Amino acid sequence: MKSRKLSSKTLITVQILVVVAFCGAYTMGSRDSRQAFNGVFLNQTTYPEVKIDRKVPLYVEPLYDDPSVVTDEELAAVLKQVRPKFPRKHMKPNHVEHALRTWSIRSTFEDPSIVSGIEMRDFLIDHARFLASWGDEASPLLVDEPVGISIRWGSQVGGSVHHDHWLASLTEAGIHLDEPVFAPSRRDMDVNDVIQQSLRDFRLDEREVEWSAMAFGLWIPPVKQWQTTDGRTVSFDQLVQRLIRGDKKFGVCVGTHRVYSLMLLIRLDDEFDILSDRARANAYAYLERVRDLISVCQFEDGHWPANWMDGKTALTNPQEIPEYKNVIATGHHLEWLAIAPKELHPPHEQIVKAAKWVIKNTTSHTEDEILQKYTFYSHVGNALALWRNTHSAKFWKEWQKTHPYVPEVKADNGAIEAPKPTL
Amino acid sequence: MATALENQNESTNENPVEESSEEFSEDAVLVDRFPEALRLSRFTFFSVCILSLSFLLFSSLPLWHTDIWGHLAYGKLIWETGSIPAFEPLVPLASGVPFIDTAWLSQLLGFQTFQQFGVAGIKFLYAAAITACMGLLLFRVQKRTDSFIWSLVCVSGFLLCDWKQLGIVRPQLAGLLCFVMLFTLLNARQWRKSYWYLIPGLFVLWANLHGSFPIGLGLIGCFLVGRAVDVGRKSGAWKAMFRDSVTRRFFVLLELAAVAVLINPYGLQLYTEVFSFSSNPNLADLIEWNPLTLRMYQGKAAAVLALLLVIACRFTPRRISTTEVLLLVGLGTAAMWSSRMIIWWAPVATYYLALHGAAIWGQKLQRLTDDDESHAMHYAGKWTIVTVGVIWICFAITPIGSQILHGKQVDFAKSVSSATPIGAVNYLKEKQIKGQVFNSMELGDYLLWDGPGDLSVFANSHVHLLPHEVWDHYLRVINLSSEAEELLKRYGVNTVVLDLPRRNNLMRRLERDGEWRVGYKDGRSVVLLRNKPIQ
Repeated sequence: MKSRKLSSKTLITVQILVVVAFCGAYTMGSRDSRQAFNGVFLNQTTYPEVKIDRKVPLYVEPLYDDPSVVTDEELAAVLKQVRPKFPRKHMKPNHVEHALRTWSIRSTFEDPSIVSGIEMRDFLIDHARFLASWGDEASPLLVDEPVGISIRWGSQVGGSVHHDHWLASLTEAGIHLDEPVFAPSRRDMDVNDVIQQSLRDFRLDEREVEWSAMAFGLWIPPVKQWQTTDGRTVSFDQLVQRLIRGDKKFGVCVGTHRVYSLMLLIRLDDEFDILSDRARANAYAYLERVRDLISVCQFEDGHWPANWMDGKTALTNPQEIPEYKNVIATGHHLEWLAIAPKELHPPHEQIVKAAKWVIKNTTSHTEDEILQKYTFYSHVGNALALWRNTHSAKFWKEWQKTHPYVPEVKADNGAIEAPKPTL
Repeated sequence: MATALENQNESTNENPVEESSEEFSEDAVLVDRFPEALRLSRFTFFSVCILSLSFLLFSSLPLWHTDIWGHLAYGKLIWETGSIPAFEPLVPLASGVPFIDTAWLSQLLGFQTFQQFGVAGIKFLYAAAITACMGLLLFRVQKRTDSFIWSLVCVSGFLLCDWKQLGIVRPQLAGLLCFVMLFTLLNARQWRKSYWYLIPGLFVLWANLHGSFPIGLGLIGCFLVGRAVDVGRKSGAWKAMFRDSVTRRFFVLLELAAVAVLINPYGLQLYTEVFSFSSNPNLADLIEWNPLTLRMYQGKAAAVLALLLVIACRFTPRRISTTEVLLLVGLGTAAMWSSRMIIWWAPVATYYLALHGAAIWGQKLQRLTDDDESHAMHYAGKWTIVTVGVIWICFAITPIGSQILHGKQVDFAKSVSSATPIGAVNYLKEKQIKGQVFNSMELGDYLLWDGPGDLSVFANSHVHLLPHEVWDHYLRVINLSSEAEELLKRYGVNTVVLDLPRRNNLMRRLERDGEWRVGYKDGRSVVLLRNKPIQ
């Protein structure tokens, strides 16, 4: 291949052209384009971040104060049962998270054996407190990440059972965005770093997204979408589609958390318009189907069965279901109904019947029995407090004023007798 | 092609009128009144025959049922919306996944061709791309060896080795054509000024047709490094390589090609996408991205070709350039790493095999091909006439020819592979089935193209766009995992579309559980319906 020799002038011109072309392409490219380039060719990892405009999470107000569903005495009896009377040694993060969600950070108890809201919060956000409870018998709950903190979740001992349940529970408990979080080797992180890590780590098609949906919904609006580390853009619309996907029996707590999360997103959409009209309509239609199903599957005694999604078949062809599963179903349904508009309610008498059944069931167990199934019963306490348009911590504080702590009662270790429910 | 071969004749015989005495005596009765400029040689005629027959062959092959339909669906979307979507637009389970469409121009071109000529148009593009590759190789080997036989060896080896890859109709074929074109230009004996425009222009086109342009940059890179090393070794001074005009030319050419690639809708991001593409974890589960093994047909073909190359290199009188070593080893290693890369290795390997083969042959037979007698070109008007006749006949009986010349519409069912789920898709449309389906990935593209509008396809051949969890779930179901049924319920799947007989086991398993029934079944696919649909 013969040719004339290229002149130095030509060579220099081409070099300038190349430099200008590539530099121009780099600088004129979008932010995503530059980040992707840096990631692939310069091995620079980009950590997308969502700007959160609030310091405390949003709170979805309950819509009713209905003594016909639960009276003060009944509520107090139930709340007494679900006080976080956890042993300080080997405190289970999952239990603490549930208790915090029900009782909030501001909860205080005259009984010194009960763990306060502050104590529970610190157990979850400070590795030193966790270490004091577990020693070296469990891996750290908080996991250091390059630019954030993630939570160890799964079935391992001393872990948070559900993905993002730690975050959702502390969010519902009202934690501050700037609250420091002390991981094993980092002490410069705060709740915001955990949220950002969680947003980045989120996978739309993972097994459980209910808690992530709640946590993100209560923190990031009016932001509607964010980017995960694998580059995918996730929106609340997609979250809704994911939550309504598939057979209703799947999902945490016999599929009821999906319902709660959907209701929560709809309520948030009322204020922040985070959903498209189509996504909202789909979510609403799903809740209407749930309403129709639970309207026809309630048992005579008032409980909703764990296989509520079978509708009438659950009644006509009853299955042998452990009682605690029915508590799960009934308690959780009461919970989402407390923040749902009336159009999504089954007949009012059904709600009352369900509440009375779950009150009776809860108060008929000893504290030890409740403790064994604490995660399920905690929802009952929260649901009933919502039906009185109050919060467990607030109500209990007022209740303690007129019903002060008596150590002898504590020594009996027995449940206070709830007034017989009136139907 | 005809023009190219005509050039060859011009370059090897300055006086086409001069003919052998035997020929002259034959033609003495009838004087050839054909204009000289239009006379062709019999070599040209035979080459055209080969290419026309191959065009006919590839035009008659049924369209493979994967890939193409998905690409047409993307092309349709781009045409209708007037823009390339930023996120995966067709598979709802991949919503929000960034979509860098490295083949947008091929898709658009394919869709427009389909709009105009239907499936015959796609067949035309398919056959034309492969035939053009063959023509370029045929031309270049003939130019380098003056041997028709060895140019035939080259294209035959190329076809045999790449047969499996060539069977699938996809934008990669456009990339292959660009690659072969670049390869033949770089192997030209004489550098032409027009190449300074032609090669960067080719890269502009390539970058928009298919994401395989880095192979082209690598090709120039091999020529650059190979030349530099050869010059350095020959002169004994490494500085000599910088002074060498050819080395400089390759260097500048590489730079211009790299800049030309930037002319695409994504700019620099296209580089990012194509360089990170192969690291997508989903691809590891696809056979064509796995290493080449002798169990594969193309592995056996590559092994035979490699063996012949080794033998040829042992006995060749030709000097083996560093470029050649770099290309054969580099692309060969890439093919062993990922069997799909064999498509680039095969044309290069067969080209060098032909070169060495011709050289050995010429040496052994006292350079028979250089003998005046055999080297003489016999140009005649009759060859022009029969060449045009062959082209005309072969074109006329292809689907596109029949359609254009006779208005005869192609039978769609006969034009596509037997695995194309035509019946299943008709059933889905007839029953107005919508929502999330589970489908064999291989059928996903056709479902996207022709399936009901409200159907949510689970997976198609663009598996790199699927979230890893979804792909993992797909594999679990398709591989008969114990949780297959639960996964189908979790996705709310009420309809399953599978290819038969490959997925017979999954079909039987679903049927056996009693939750599914067969809604439609033919020899190529089955549609299973859930007895109690998930609401």
